[in-house]
Amino acid sequence: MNDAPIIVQNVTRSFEGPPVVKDLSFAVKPGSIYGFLGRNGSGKTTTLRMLAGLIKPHAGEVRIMGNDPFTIGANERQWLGYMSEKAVIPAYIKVGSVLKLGRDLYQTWDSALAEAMLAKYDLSPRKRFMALSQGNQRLLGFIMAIAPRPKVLLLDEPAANLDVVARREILDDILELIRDCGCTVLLSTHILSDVERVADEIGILAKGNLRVSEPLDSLKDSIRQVRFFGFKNGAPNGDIPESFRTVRGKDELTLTLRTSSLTTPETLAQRWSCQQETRALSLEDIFVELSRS
Amino acid sequence: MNKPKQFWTLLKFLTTINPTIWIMPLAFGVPFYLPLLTSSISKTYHPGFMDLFMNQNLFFVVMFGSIVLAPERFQFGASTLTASYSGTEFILTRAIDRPVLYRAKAAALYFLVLLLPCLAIATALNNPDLIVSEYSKTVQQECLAQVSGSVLLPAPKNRQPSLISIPRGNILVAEWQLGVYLITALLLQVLILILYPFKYARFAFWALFFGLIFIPVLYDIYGPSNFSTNAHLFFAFAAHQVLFWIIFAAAFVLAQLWCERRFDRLEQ
Repeated sequence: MNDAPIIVQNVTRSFEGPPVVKDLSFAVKPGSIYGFLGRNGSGKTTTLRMLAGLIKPHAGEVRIMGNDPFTIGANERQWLGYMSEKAVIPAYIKVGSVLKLGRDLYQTWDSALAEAMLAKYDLSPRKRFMALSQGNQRLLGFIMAIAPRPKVLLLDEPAANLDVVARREILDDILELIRDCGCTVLLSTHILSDVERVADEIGILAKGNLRVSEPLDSLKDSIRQVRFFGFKNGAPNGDIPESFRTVRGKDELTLTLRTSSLTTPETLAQRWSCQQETRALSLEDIFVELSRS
Repeated sequence: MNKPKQFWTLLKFLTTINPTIWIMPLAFGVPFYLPLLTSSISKTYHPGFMDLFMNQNLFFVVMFGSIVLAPERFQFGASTLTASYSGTEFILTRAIDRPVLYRAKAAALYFLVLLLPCLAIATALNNPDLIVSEYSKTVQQECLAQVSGSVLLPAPKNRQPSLISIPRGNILVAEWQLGVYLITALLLQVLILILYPFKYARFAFWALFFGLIFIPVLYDIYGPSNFSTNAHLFFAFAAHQVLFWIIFAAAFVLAQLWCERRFDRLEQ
């Protein structure tokens, strides 16, 4: 974990109320894409703002390439790309001036990449930021994050307000960046199909708590929804293994749980003298189950 | 990137971030740059010390301070235009050093607000001497005692003398304005950075904003009619110019360093 480019360790943060994130811990491996999922208000943006060095954790610590992002300066920020969920680029500034700022501030600024992306997304350098559509404003934010060829890329809802084609192209650009320079990406989004296409690892945040953080394949393989029914001795009241979500119906019990060698649906059905029906869950199902629990 | 290059890059960016902020200096600077261009308007005579100063234009400093320095969260509403007026979050997440960014922001503010008194000094250099009409005997005596070279001009028969001639008086007034604008800009920065982290900072900031605009005006209107604080301070400035410039310079350096250090530690 110590060599991970992105580390969040026991982080708690609040804003004049209950904590927005509580004792949050995860790390992102070098050169991987971490899909950071959660409902609105679950704490994703707060976590990304802490990693971008805009706010500080109240407890715990965040590290980007081993440094505290709040205290790093221009030299260390050369390799950090950040795209905010909001349109934070000044409204009156021209697209060309924004790119010039990037070129002037970053030693590793890839002008060819920036120009190519402008052409690809059909963005005119002469247009003012406020004159761009919301989708194009997001794209400019994305270009500003990616053109310095960062080693760590923090993307907060990069695909919001984008059409399907632009979304696909953004994902392709992210993959290309990783292929070219081994960039490590933290991708926060609501669009699960995007995450499913590109993420190596998934973290699901619910009410400030990280419910799961593991490789996508392992997550999909291990979490199951099991319906137990036809109890000969009635549905169990206690002795229920730890589950993400428990729903009791008339003479049936539905559990969303992580299966392991000790708690398979079959062993539980045998223990409770009932039948069981197991359903594999898609990422969207897992997300919904974990978020609602 | 070295810090001076970073500073100039950021300053250039900040001063071109929003073209509309150049409208106000152009509008309020008319009385100062027009005489420079036309050499036609005389500024030798003023109808009294009360009207001599640009105090009423302090809102100019406050307005620019709020545009250049106030963070997005001091703004009301969440429109793209309002939220991204100053672009603080965008710039803070680029490859910059926070103290350098703050220095560039402060320089942009000084550049905007000190333009007006600098134009006033340039105008005054063309027309340095001042004749001011002042009927209060106390103020007259204070002026004659403290402003070197000032003389009371003789009045027509049976009339009370009221005209005071001050050699280089227009330059002195413009220099005093430069000092007042500088101190107001410093005060504003310090107050914004003190308020920054507080829960009700937004409300306190706007109360301060309107207070700084209206208090000098209301004081001039409803304050003691025969007493002008600004005139007394101006006389003191005229009598101890070196001391005042040392105080201004010290206040500038200390406030600037404090602001840079505080900004470095503040969350957005």
